[in-house]
Amino acid sequence: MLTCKKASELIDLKLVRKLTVKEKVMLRMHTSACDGCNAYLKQSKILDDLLLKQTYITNETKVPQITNDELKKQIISKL
Amino acid sequence: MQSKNMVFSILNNKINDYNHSSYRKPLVNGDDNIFEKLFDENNKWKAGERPQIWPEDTGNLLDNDDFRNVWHHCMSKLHANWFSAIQLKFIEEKNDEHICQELGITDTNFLQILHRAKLQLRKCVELNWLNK
Repeated sequence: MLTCKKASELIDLKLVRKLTVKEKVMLRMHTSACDGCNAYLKQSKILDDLLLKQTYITNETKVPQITNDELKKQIISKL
Repeated sequence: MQSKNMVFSILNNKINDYNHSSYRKPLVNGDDNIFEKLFDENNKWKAGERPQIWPEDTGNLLDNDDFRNVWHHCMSKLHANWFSAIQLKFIEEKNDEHICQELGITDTNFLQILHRAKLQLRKCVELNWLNK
């Protein structure tokens, strides 16, 4: 049985290379029984998405927000 | 004018050399203790460190100003070497072999760096964003 430490490592390893069949099975067994690692499995994926999407964000590059609700609705309805 | 440009390009190279030399001391073993922080002696998540379920809708997080501030803060907390590895992989989308060469690390070290960086990022986001 995998430890949580090893399971979390395999979860992040998936990003870089394919897991072997044995690793996959061990990981599946572990995450089905461990809430923490099951949550980490999903969050690791979310982090990857965020890391891929971000252009390095600084506090200076705030996206302008539309404060006028009427205008906002109109824009959304036209999209 | 030309000599000014030359001076700038020399200084620029110096800065690059410095940056590269600081990458070349990868903090993989020893100095950081993220594993000791997160896992107990049986290598299970410590009670307060176990990842919690996040809300389902995390698709547009980067559009949210508050989240972006948290994200920026968490990225800035990463060790410089970890940040470099992440930046090369995700932002510059270099291949893994190239990154190892650039940072002067082995692929095992690179995996460890990515893994530790993500453990730390995850914890930081959960702490500052979801537990607010």
